[in-house]
Amino acid sequence: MKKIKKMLADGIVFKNPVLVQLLGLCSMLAITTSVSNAIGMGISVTAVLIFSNLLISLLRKFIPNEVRIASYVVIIASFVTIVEMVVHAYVPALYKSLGVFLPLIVVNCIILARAESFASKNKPLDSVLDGLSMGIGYTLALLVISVVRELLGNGTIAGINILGSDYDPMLIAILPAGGFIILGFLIAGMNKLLSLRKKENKGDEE
Amino acid sequence: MNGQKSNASYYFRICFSLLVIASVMALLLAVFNSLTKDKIEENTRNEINATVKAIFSDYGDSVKTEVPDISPDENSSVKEFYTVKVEDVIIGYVAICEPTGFKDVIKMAVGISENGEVREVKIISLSETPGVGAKVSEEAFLSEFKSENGALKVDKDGGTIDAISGATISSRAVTLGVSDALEFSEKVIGGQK
Amino acid sequence: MTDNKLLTVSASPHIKAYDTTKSIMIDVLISLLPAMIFAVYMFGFRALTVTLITVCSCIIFEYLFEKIMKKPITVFDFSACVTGVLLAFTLPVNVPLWLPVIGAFFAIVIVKQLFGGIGKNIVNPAIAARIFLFIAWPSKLTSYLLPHADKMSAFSVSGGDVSDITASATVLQNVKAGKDAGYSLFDMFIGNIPGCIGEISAILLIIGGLYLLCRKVITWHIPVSFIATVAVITYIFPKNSTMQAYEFMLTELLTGGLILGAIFMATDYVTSPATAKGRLIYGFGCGLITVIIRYFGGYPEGVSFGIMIMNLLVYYIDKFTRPRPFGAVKKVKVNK
Repeated sequence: MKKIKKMLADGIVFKNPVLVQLLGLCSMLAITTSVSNAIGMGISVTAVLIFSNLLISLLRKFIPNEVRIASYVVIIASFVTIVEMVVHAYVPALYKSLGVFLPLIVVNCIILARAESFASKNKPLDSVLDGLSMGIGYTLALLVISVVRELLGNGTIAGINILGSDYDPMLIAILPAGGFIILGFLIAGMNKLLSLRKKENKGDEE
Repeated sequence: MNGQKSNASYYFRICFSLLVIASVMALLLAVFNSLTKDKIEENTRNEINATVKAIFSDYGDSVKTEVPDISPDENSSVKEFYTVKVEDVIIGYVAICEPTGFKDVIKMAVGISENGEVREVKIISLSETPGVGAKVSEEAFLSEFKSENGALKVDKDGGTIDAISGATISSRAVTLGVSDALEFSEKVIGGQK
Repeated sequence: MTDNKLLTVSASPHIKAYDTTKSIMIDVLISLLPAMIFAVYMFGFRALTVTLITVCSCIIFEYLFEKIMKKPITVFDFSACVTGVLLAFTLPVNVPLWLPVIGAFFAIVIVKQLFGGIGKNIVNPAIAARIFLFIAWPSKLTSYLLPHADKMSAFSVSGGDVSDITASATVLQNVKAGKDAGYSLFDMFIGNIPGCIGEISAILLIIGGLYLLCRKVITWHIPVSFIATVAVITYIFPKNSTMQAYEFMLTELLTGGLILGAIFMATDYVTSPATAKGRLIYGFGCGLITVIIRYFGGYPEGVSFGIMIMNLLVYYIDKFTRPRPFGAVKKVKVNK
C-alpha cells in the first residue's frame, strides 16, 4: 500500500513527466489548446503507457539487450496504432481534433523513457502501476496547462464560455509562443512547490 | 570453434526474439483492425451523409448520395464528389475539398445546386491561425460564395471574393476549393447530359 | 580645523563623468518629446492617455516586482519610463486602455526583471512587448485612425470598434498589396499618415536622433547601418510596380516604424553590441531581416522582428568582434 502511494506521488508530483522530467513537451504544447483535447490525449497516453509497460515487463527476460530499443518501439507503436483505431471507431470527434498527434504518441519520450528505466527492470504489476501513475501525472499536468491556455486564449473551458462574450481573447495563449511562456510559469511554480517541501522536510528533521 | 558456434546462436537468438515480438504485435494489430474497421467506415459514411443532409436540409431525410463515373484530377483540391439525389432525381452535388491553407489542409464541403451554382460552403476542419486565418469558417466569409459559379478568385488576384484582411492565404485556399468544386461539377453535369 | 574637508581623499575613481543611467534616460525622453507632441496634435489627447498609462504601468510593475522580490528599487533611474514611452509609441492610438497595461507587465516583469533586471535582459523589452501584444491581439494592433480624423475621447477605455472610427490601411499595407502608397512622400516625411502613436513623423524622430547624437547618448553606427541596409536593398530590388525605385525606397524608409526602431530601439545599450564593428554588423542584420519580412513574410512590417532576432545574436556578434587586448600578440601558427 505504501509502495502504491509512493509511486502515485512520484508520477503526479515528484517525477511528473511534464513539469519535472520535461518529457513529451512537443505534443503537449500542441494539444493543450483545449481542455477536451488534453483529457483525451492524457487518457490515450495513459492507455499506451499501461499496456506497453505491461507487455515489456512480461517480456523483459526474453528481449535481448542489443535489440531492446527496437523491440520497445515495435511494441509501443503497435499499441499506439491500436489505441488510434479504437479512438477512430468509437470517439471520432476526438480522433479528428487530436489529428496527427495521436500517432505521434509513438515518439512521446515518456513512454520510451518509462519502458527503458522501469518496465524493463521491474515486475509486471509494478510496471502497470508505474504506467498508470505516470499517465495520471501527465494527464493532470496537461489539464492544468490546457485550462489556463483555453481560458486565456478562448474564454472557455471545455467549450463552455466562462469569461463572457465581451472577453477579448489573448490569442497568444493558444499559439505555441504563449504555450511556452505558460509552461515556463508552471514549471517555475512546480519547482517552488518542490523546494518548499524540501525546506519543510529539512525543518522536520532538525 | 566455440566462438563461431556462440556467434551463430547469438544472432539466431536476436532474430528469433524480434520475429516473435513482431508477430505477436502484428497479430494484435490484425485483431483490432478487424474489430474496428467496419465501425470506422460507418462513421465516415455517417459524417458525409450528415454534411449532405445539412446542405440540402430542405429535402429532409430522403437524400441519397452516389459517386459519379468520373473522378477528379489528382492535383485538384476535390477529394470526394457525390451526386445527391432524391428519389432518383438529381438535386445537386457535394464536393469534399482539401485545399492547402496557411498551415495545413482545410477540409471543406461545397454544396452545389443542380444547375452548377454554389448552394452552400461548409468548413469541416481547419488548423489556421486563430483570429486570423480561422476566420474563413465564419458565415460572413462563406456566404460570399452563395450562388456563384465559374472560376472564382479573391479580390487581390483580380476576382470577386472579398478576402479576409490579414488572412489572404487562407481565403485563397477556400476560394480555390470552391473553384475546383465548381469546375468538376461542370464536368459531371456535362457528362450526364 | 575647518580645512579638513579639503584634505579628505575618497576612494577611486576620481574622474567623474556626468552620465548616469538617469541622465541618459532623461535625454532619451527629451528626444522623444517632439514626436509625442505631434502625436497629440494628430490623434488627440488619447495619445497622451495611452502613453501615460503605459509609463505608469511600467513604473508600478517594476516597483512592485522589486519590492516583492526584495531587490533594490531602481525605478528612479527612469529606464522603466523610457520603456513605457517607447512601447506606447509602437501602439495605435485606438487600443483599449487595458492593452498597454498588459504590454507593460510583459515588458518589465517578464522580459526585463525575470532575466535579471536592467543590464541583464537579452531582448529589448519594448520590442518584445510589442511583438507579444501583436500576436495576442492582432486585430487591435493593426487598425489605425486616419490622420486628422475625429479625435477619440481621451478617456474612452475600450478604444471603440474600428468600424465606428474612420480607419484605414497604413502605407505599408497598401504598398505590400501592390497598390499605390496613398500618401505623398512629403506627407510621410512630416507625419501626415496613419500609423502608431510615435512612428508617423520621420522628421521629428530624426531631430530627436540628432539630439541624442549630440549628447553622445547613441553613436551613428546602428541607425546608419540599419537604415542604409534597408535603403540599398529596397532601391536595388523594389517590390512595387506602381512607383519608381527611389520612391519605393523612400516609402519603405519613412514609414512603418523603421526610423523609430533604428534610432531609439535598436540602439538600446543592453541589447546591442559593444564595439563599432559589432554595431555595424548588427544594424546590417536588423535591416536585412526587416526587408526580408516585409517582402516575403506574412506581415507588412518587419522592424520589430528584425531587432528582436538580432538581439538574440548580439552575444555572438560581441564574441567575434572582441577587440584585441592592449599588448596582445596574435598567435603565429608554426608549420611543422
